[in-house]
Amino acid sequence: MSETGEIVREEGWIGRVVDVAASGLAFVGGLFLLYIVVLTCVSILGRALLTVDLCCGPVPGDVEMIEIASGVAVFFFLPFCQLKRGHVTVDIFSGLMGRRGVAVTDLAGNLLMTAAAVVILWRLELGFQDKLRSGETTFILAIPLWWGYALALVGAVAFALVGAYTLLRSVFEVASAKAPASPHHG
Amino acid sequence: MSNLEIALLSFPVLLVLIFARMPIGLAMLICGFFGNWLVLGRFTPILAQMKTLTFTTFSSYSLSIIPLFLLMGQFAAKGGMSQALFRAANGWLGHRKGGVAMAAIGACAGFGAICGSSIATAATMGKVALPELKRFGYDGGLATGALAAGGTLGILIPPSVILVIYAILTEQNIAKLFLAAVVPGVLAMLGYMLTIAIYVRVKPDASGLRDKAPMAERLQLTFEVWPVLIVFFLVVFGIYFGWFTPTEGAAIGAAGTGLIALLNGGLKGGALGESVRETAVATGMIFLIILGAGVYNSFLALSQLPQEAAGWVVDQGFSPWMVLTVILLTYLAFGCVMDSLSMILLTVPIFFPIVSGLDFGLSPDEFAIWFGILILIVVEVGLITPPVGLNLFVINSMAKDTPMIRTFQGAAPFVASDIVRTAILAFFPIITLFLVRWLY
Repeated sequence: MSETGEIVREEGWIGRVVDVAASGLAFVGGLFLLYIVVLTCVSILGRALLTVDLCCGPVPGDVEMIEIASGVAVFFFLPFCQLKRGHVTVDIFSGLMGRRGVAVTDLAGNLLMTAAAVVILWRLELGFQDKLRSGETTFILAIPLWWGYALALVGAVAFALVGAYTLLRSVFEVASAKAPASPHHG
Repeated sequence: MSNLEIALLSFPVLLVLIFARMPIGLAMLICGFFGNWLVLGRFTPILAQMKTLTFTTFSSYSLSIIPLFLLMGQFAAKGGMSQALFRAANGWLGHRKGGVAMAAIGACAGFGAICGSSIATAATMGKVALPELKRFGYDGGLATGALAAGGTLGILIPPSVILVIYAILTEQNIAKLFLAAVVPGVLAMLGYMLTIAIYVRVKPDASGLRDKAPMAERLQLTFEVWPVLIVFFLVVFGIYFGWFTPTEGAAIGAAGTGLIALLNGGLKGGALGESVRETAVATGMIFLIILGAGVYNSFLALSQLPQEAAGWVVDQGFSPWMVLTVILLTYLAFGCVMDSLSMILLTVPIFFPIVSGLDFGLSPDEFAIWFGILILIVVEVGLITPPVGLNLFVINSMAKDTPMIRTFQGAAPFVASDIVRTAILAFFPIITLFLVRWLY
């Protein structure tokens, strides 16, 4: 579930741009996680102080904020995971397929992944429109729901773009019959 | 084609896609998407669902525990706790026959208490323990096999990402499941140590000897692992006593291991960015599987397959134990080719309704806990069985002079130990349940 291999760097200037952008986005996603960590600690501290009748109490609406932050973080992580071949595949027949066979299945996988990313983006954008129109908000803090969707859209666009890049990458790998860099174990 | 036939047909399609190296989450997403279309006759419902499905899945409060536990594990790996744990365990056990390998197992168990992932545990402890094992003349097969098996303690000892997923799928209390996993986890550790003790007696040249550490040094070394203990007890007992929710517990754990890493200088020089990126890759991988499994399982539910299958098994009048055995063997077989998380997400929605209709003499809640612990163990065996046991490859890639086949052989006794333990826990549910019964 976690990973151990070195994170392989991308080649070529397009690859480097994609690499920097995707890891930058993943890092911002990580900041959202750190925000959850800090928020939770503050909230629990506040709650603990309240039980001994000192002051404070939990941060209002902490659950809502955690939910939005977590959703955005996952969307920001997806492009990086796709770029670094982080998705689990079953490699039991790779030996039989040969290098070109493996490269071809990679191509097919990246093609379908890109298609899925585009469908996810398309639907998410419509969901975003719905939330924008309806003006729904969260229960306690009245945060407009479209905020989370808008941030998630950034990740979804990046996911589709990175998907297209990995598609291109596997086309070259098939053409050169080069085995894909070993997967970033997951 | 009836809906049931569509659902049954989707299994071979899914397997073909998976064996063609399609990412598992994607394969499930695609099968679920088109299956939904075949059952309902049009794309509109699934497309309408997908407007909100992705974001609501990813922003679920109970699932947000996963990236937090992953971050916690990453910080733990960077925090130098693995060295401290291994030194302490080595102080107590190192001088025995096979003791350094036993110490590696003990340290893995300790590390598993602050890390919810097997591969991270194997990799982290491998880095620390492999050089020592080599120095004291341990055979490569034993060293790599023991560490690969020790890595599975990362998942078997709470906190555990797999148990979180199981709890969500079966609507069980995460705190109770964590508590129930403690004793089987400790048994796993003792079982592995026993395996090593037998191994070095059957093959006396597989290990060397180490000097005995004086008591003062042992106590000193043990004292140095206090941060691990604090984080573990804070997270597991904090959740259990209801001081905070499981998600909050994971955040506290991440803060704790993060603080340890920071104070030990483990987050210097880009290591923070590295932890975040590793967390990002693992999170993206897990959430794609969760999304795909969600879509696929909603298609199966739509086709009525899980209910039909459960009804069929009850009608056939199979003995409950036979059904359980078949299910556990299925997990063992699939574990050889699939990863544990996908297996749980894919099969629990089908198997759980089947087995919960059978009578094992337990209350529904207790049954769910016991069954969860059993399948947790059998899916983890897949990590140390060829041909795709990930822990084996991770550890073997770190021990350059040990051929893969030696690692496979070295892991075999530990697989046997796993199977014996599963049988014991299956026949005596009380071992798993007594802590929950006693404390609740």
